[in-house]
Amino acid sequence: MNEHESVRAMLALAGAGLLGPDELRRVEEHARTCALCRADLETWAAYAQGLRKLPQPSAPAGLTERTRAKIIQEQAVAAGRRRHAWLLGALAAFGWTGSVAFWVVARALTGGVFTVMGVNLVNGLAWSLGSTVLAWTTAAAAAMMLGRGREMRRFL
Amino acid sequence: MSRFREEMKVIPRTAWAIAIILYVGFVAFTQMVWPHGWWTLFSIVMPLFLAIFVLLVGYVNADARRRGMRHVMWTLLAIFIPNAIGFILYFIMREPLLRACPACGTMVSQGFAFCSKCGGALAHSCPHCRAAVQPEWSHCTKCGAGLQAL
Amino acid sequence: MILAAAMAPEGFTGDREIARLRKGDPDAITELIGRYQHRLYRFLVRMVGDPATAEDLYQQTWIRLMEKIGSYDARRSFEAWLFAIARNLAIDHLRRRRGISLDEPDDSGRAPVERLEASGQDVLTQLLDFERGALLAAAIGELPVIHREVLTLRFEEDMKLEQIAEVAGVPLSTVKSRLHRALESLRTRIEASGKGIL
Repeated sequence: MNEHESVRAMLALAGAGLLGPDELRRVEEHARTCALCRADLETWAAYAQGLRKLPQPSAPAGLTERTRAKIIQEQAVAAGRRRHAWLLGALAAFGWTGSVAFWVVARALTGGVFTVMGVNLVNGLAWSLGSTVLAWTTAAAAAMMLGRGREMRRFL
Repeated sequence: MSRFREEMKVIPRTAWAIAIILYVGFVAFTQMVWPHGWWTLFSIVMPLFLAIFVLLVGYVNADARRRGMRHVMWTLLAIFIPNAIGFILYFIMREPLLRACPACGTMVSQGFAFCSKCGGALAHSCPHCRAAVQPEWSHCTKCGAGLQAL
Repeated sequence: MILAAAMAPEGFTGDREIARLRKGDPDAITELIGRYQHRLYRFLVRMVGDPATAEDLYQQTWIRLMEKIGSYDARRSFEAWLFAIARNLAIDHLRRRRGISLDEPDDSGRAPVERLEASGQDVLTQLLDFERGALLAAAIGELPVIHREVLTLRFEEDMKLEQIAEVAGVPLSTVKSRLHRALESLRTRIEASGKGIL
């Protein structure tokens, strides 16, 4: 590629002011002798100038207020969700510590032994197994009941 | 934290009474029967769980009532499902608060487009099928009709 | 700090403002939105074309920004970050809406000048600047979105190449080559319609 061709490829960026000092010098030197490139350069400069003066869209009235209201609303929703998650976590913790506490009391009250059908119910393992099974079955039963209830939504 | 206080006000006085009586009763009972050293601390902390449980049950009862839910069913679920799973289910599934109809003042569910008592409009509704719609929607989610700028 | 704010051009967002935003101070939010209002809105209109969509994306940009303000690295340019968020939302919207490649031109099939004249304006009686500007704006609207974005960021927002690279999430060399191709493509379109701009 000769000098003319390579400079021509740089003219667009030159007109837009995006060339480094070395490249710019090359272009200017060539343009001094080449009328074609000089004209082209002027056209590109006009384009760059035109691009800086495009008709401006005007922001609709009240945009700031509406946006601000929306942001505040979103923040409230997010805060509500955080609170909800915190509540559920606290309840779960409460449930489990309560269960352990109940076991401690049961153990104390029965003196460490409470046999039903040959199984010591207040033994740690037996208690945790029994309590877990009980919790899951009752929760599953409730969930099924509620699931059917959802179809008749207004009765919930 | 003031939000917490507001919610606490929902708990009926009966629940507070039962909780306090149970708490004091348990502490007194354990102090009388086992007045040993470390038991004292234990006997103060333990009944706290029971008291909190009673207060939570009271909250679920009153809150379900004010949201138009089946409060008896939910109270029983809260009491009898172990490990607080009943409470967790309640908080996940509870309905939004009721709101007053601007025309007749009856408390109605938030999702309604028209008041069940007086028929007054409560929210934007689809011109075609009358279902409740949000103002920013461009189509009704029930019947698909196009909505003009509301 | 205050002196720096007074002396700096529009768009200075310092540490104290970021801190206020993080706390959710509503006055800080309002002030910030107002300051960038016209530039951000203009950018979005250039990207998606439709003013109603631009407004919707404008609101979403601020919501997204407030969500992420906690993880904003204060060493980055605030402007570049703001425009990057807006740019990504605009691109997602265009992708969803049309499902076509972002490299393709936005052609409605008619030359820019025809559409202008059809819109009722007698082009020849306008002032030279406005005429040229309107012609260019119409032509830009038809370029692929990746060309539109570098043109508007460079010539309307006056951003440095490094900033444009940050907003668009591409290397600096890509920005330069996209600008080049965008300018060439723009000129080709305008000259093809028979109206030069000199």
